[in-house]
Amino acid sequence: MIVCQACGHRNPLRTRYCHACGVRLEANLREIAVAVEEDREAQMAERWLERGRSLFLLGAFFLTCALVLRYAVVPELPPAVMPPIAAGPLLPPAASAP
Amino acid sequence: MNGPFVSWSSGQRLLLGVALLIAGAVMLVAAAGIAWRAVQRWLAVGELRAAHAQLHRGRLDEARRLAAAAAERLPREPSAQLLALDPADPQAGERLRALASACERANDRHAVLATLGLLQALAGRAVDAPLEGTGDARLLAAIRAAHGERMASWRLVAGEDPPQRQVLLAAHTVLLRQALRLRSRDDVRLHAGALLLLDPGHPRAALLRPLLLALSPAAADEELVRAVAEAREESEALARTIAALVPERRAALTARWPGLAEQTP
Repeated sequence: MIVCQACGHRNPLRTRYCHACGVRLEANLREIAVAVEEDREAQMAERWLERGRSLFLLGAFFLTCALVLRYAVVPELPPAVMPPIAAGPLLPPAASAP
Repeated sequence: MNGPFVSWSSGQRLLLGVALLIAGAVMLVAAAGIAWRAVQRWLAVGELRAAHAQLHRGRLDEARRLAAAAAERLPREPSAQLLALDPADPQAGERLRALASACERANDRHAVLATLGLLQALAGRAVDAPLEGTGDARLLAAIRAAHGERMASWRLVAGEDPPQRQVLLAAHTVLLRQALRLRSRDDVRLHAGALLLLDPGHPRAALLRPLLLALSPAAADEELVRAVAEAREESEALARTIAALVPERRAALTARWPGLAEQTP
């Protein structure tokens, strides 16, 4: 940003005349360096915000899909059924006949 | 989304971006976990349904294999674990107790406890599974009493939870054996008939049908002999049992299996 020496308005880099009062901007090297650094930081912050927003939306979409899959699409488990359990031979042993 | 943050400084926007990035990553990981478990559950439901179908067709080994695959996918689900259980496993009792405490649905818990109770009753041990107020408790008491010289019986009470089918089958099997031992014709008719009604494809149907035929006055001796012969390697033991139970059928059976004359009192 380049600060206007007349009105104090913060103008973007590569601006010759103040966007607020129209005065020709005069910037020294230190100010330009600071402005360049600020601009770089702002662009980096914008990139991170954009990445974060994209990943957040992607995560929200997939989380919604996963929850719909789990609770609306996958059927309920069938009830528990006892396994067949052998109750021994059907006929009594010959020796035990009265 | 940029709207509310236009007036924010670069540092604040950077912080928000990183926070959204972390939240998005956490949601992606959570979504992957939930989706993985949902797919496993879906596959397990399919395997369990197939296992139940195999069980109804009498293919126990295949049913158990499918249930074991489902149990591997869902280690905490009683419906998968119970069917995969091997009743001959010495650790079965402990596994069933742990399973009962993990059950969320009352019906599942009832099935697990009934299995535990049936294993205990068939082993001749005291039944400590809490089954009060269910028909299973009465059936298990009858199973335990079936070793005596008086015919054991039970009566189901209205309002109680109905018994599990496997407990009913086991009770009829044990009581049929006792009825044959005590030569109680009415009880043989009752329990053999009930077993065939409960399970028309009973694996021992070849033994049950001749028992009912032998007790039916309408059935001819030739018909009975043919039915007994269909029991193949068990036909002689069956003929001996019928000859002891219904002495008036002995002559026809002895004509086909002469060895019965000496063996049957």
